Amino acid sequence: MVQMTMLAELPCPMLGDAILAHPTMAEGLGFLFSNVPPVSTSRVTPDGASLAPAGPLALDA
Amino acid sequence: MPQPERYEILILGSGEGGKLLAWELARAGRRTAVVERRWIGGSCPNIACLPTKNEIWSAKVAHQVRHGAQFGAMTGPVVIDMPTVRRRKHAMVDAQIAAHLQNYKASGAELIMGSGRFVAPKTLEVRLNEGGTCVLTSEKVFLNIGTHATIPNISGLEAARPLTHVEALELDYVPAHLIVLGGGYVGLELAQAHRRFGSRVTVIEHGPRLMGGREDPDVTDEMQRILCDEGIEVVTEAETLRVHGRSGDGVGIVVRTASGERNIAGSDILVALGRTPNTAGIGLAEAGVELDARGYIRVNGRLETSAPDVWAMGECAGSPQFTHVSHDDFRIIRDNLAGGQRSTRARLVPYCMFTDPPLARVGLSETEAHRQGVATRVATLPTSAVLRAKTTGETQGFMKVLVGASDDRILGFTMIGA
Repeated sequence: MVQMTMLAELPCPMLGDAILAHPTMAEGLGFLFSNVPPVSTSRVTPDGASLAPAGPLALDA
Repeated sequence: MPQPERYEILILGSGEGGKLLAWELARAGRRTAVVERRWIGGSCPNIACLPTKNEIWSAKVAHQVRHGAQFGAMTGPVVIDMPTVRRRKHAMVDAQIAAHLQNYKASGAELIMGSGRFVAPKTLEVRLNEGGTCVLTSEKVFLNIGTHATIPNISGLEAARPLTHVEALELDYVPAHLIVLGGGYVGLELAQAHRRFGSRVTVIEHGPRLMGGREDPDVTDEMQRILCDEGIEVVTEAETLRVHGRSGDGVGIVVRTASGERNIAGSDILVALGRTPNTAGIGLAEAGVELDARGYIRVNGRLETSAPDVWAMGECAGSPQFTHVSHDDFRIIRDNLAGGQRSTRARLVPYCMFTDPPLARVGLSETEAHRQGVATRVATLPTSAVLRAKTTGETQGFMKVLVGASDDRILGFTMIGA
């Protein structure tokens, strides 16, 4: 799914905001993309380290 | 020299790209011959992709049965019968070969079993497996000759008669202690499979991280953790100095690590230290085909070699070492023969390492983005946060995505997860 989104050059919300069947592994993509930081915080990391938020969304609720 | 047999299309090597091109052009009415030394259909269905995944699946079943109790499926002790594992694989491979032969018959492409050597440009002498020789000339020639496992020059290694992936897939016993030289794709897939069959397994990796540092550190760290949790010992930053004994009878290796020399004794040894192109000793110089410094065939983006009307495809052309890339090499050549302008440049190449859980990637890693100066936004999600994974219990691994810093383009995606 991610590869097809890349090939189609679609913006990532097309995938992240899509309705993905529950409960599948693909559903995780919605949560993954919701963790992408907003544009303003972007920078090249000096050491190649992850800029990801500290933790995942709590999904147990 | 016997009178040469003339063809329009001559393909040396029957792997993915070569066979697809042969069937396509033969069906289009071109007089086509394929010369194959041993593996009908190339390494993928015989000794690489398909048989490894077949045996890895047997190992997964063994693993799941062994852990059945936690799912409420109570079993007794699990016994692995490697002859049955091998027989199941052979049945699949045999069916593949039969399907290939049917495709040759249906397409009209001629399959010649023998070892080819160029004696002049576009002129191939073939030592036939059934005895005798023949000489073939062709208007167009395509080289699809692949690679083989590299056996590096380490003292005692060759004398130890080490397993490569080819022999490892033919074992009819479970090695007591398998030493795996190389922590790349081949090494790790087979290491985990044999661990699950019941071997003690030690992986020796020369570099500081598994997979030759081709993946991000968080990815290789997670993979190493997963493998270690199954009881595989991974020794990194270890240079193998010497090997003694003989694989199957008992082997020992001496490795140099940061904490000094270490002796490791095992029963069998598997070499998975990269690939060597099958370009030596087949007269490529006589054919006017130039090689690069690593011995791969020099090609341009259209997969044309330095010799007129000679192409190379697949691993021997330096293409990424995946069957799906060789398949795309075929499509590029096919389309360009029909007047197209396709190139191998800027291809988006996905790949998967079939450990359990597998590792998949498409596009850039963080390390590559950093090296290329590409600004990105990065997000990760542990597999354990995906509700589906909670249902199966397969919660190891994580997903990572790279998105453009100032736009919403996806630049790369990596996942370890089932």
